[in-house]
Amino acid sequence: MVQWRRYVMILAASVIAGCAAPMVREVEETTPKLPPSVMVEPALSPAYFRLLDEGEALLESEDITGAIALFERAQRIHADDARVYLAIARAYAVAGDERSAMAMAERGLLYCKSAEKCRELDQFVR
Amino acid sequence: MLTRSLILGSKALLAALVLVLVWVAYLDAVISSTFDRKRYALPATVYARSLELFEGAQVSSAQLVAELEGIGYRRVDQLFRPGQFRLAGTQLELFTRDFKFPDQLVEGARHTIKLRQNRVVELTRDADAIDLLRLEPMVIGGVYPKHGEDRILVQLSEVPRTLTEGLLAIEDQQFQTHKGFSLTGIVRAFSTNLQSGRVVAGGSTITQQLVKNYYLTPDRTLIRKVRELFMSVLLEWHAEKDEILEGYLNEIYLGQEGPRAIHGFALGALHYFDTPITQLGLHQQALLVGMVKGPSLYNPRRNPDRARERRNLVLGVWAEQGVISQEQAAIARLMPLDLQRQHATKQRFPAYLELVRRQLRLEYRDEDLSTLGLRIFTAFDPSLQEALQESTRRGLASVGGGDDALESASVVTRVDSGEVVALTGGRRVSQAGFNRALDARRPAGSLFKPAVYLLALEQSERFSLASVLDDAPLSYTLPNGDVWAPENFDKTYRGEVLLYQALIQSLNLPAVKLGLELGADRVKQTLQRLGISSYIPEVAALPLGVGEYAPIDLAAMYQTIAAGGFRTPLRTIRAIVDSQGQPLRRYPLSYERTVERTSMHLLHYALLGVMVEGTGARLQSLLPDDLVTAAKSGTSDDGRDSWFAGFSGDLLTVTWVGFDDNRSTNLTGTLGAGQIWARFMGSQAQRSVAYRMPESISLAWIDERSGLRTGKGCEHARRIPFKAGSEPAARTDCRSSSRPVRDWLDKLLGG
Repeated sequence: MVQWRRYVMILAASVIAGCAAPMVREVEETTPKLPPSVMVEPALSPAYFRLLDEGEALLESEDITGAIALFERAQRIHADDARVYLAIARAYAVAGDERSAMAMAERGLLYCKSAEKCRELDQFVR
Repeated sequence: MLTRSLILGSKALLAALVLVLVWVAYLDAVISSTFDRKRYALPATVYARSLELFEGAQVSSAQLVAELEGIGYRRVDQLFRPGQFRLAGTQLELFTRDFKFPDQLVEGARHTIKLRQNRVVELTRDADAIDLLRLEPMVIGGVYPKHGEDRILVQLSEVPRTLTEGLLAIEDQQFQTHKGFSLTGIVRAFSTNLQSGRVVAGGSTITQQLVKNYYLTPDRTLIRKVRELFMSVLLEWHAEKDEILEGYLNEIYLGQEGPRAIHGFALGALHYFDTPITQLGLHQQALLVGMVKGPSLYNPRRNPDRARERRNLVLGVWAEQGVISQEQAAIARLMPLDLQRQHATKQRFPAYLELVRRQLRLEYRDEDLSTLGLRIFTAFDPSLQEALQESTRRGLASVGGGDDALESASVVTRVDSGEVVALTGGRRVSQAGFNRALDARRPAGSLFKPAVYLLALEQSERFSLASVLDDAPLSYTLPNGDVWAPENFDKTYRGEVLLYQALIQSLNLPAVKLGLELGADRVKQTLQRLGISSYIPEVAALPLGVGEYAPIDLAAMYQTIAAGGFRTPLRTIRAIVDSQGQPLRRYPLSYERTVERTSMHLLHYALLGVMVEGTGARLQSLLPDDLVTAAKSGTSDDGRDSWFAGFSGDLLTVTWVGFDDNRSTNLTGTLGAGQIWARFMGSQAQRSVAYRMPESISLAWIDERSGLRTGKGCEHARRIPFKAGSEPAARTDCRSSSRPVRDWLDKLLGG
């Protein structure tokens, strides 16, 4: 009996739902595709990290021009990695060019793939 | 009477003697004041970018071979000296040369490059694994003085012994002993020529030849010859033999390449053999020495048989004079001319070089550029340039209907740096002339529309991508009383359209109305913020691109858009160093934010849509399936101008197609310029547009007919980005989830 009433309710509910609810369809994800809110870390070349390291070493020895030149070479290898923008922003900050540091960090935000990296870049922007 | 005549004669003789002495003193002053300080006008040398190879770098073996041949490397079976490479399957071995970059001297060594699926998987240097290989850059041209002389200075100690001794054996055997001229030299030359049965040696000494080239005109007059003689003696008096010989080695004329005159053995070695003077083989040295007598007559490219004959004669004299052995001469005689294959590597890219020159002239005087021997390192990418040229050729062939007057110009930049990496100024890419990329003045068509919508999207309290715009007829009274009634391209009206749809479909009327609502002055300011620096008229038709702009202007605008709202100067030059290799100037990467990030993100959404469902969608067949690009097409009245501007994650390309006489092309932006754009981007872009979504962006489902909020799964539902808080408040009556019926039933049944 309970079972029978249950089927009647399902049928009635289906009829009501069919009449009352707007027609629905499953849709594809938005077109064009939206950029991901969490980005996947791509494989990065060891050369990229070496240039970053060498640039950092020059920065420590206060050769800012040399450091930025190396960072720019690194950027040509992986322009879509936030680390290099953070590195250049730091170099500009050391040089006292806050405006360039901020712009560089802000550009890096377009590519940051981890919350930590985004936070570091954000510090220059704020 | 006789005495009087004698006195008069003596006076005349004395006067003549004084005059001669004064003249000689004058010549002496000329020599002594100029020879020591003789400074050659050294043209600036312009380099392309250096190709850097690293693990994972995307490059095919064909590209690598083209790159190496472009920088003058020779393909051989076995490496034995710098400047050679060997390709064995997917492994490339090369012997690099020394090269002084602005920041580093890279010494030559043996390298191997292993490739797999068009990617570098392994690099070694002298058998040790390395992670980065920096190839020397290609010379793409120079900035020459008006007389066109080009040379590379070399010191005597750098010149092979056989070349200097061989030169003296042919041109001046008495050089070490004579005092400027040589009677025995003249006799000996006569005798040598007699024995050879032809003219193989000249009578003028090296010193005389140098004086003639330095100070005198090529006239064959007696007075010039006397002057040459006096000056040669004076030069010998003032200068050391080695200085004279070094001056000669740098001065001598060795041929012509268009307006460029090849001077000196060092440049001659590179020009004819693409080999540094220090590494010339005997057969090459003999050819250059033989050419001194007649660079045009013995030009090995134009007269190879005559040049070979001359070279072999020179080798014979060298062997007789003991400069080399008979065996060496015999082997050298068997060698081919060994000329570099691509002799016209210089000035192959005149349109790009013109942009470099213009940027240089902002900071350097023409005189300095053509005399100081500057080395200019640019971002020019020969591989992209070749691809752009090929895409232009094929694109024009596909749309031009065989009309050779249909022209095109393109500018390619790197999105992340603003560096101009390739450029065409017309369909005849290797010819200098009217550079349309820089100097064409054409209306921008719909390429300006993104500026109007961007200005609207910046006002999030009023506009969003879902704002409803009016696509209805418009009559606008111009200041002169005329009535202007713009139309959509398809001459239809859609009534109400959403903002993003108006941009994706490039509708004229919503853009013009929105421009009027926002104000032409503010649209103009937005265009300026985006990078347009030429004159922009403040008129109602501004959203439709009214005015006169060059492709480079539009590239500056779209560069800012592509870079996510960061304006960066379009640079060609990375660094300049002086003739001693000392850095003079760097042009570092710089950004200036001129558009706030969230507004630019919304604009990107619409421009991405252009390529999926808008005017650019039909180009998708020319692009890889997994490449995401954003773009805007543009067409001016009657199809006079066909534009296409768009970007991937790494490259921005702006292309124009049209006629110089402004007649109609009957092409839309997509059907004309888009054909070149897509061919190029489809083959060269390596990265999709993929900026991180700003945190202040929220996604919401809207009804794409009304712009009202709706639910996922509802009919006409579409999820689009909004600045958080700017989502439409009004909703449709559809509140669904992806499984509405099931959810409702589950709830009802408590399941």
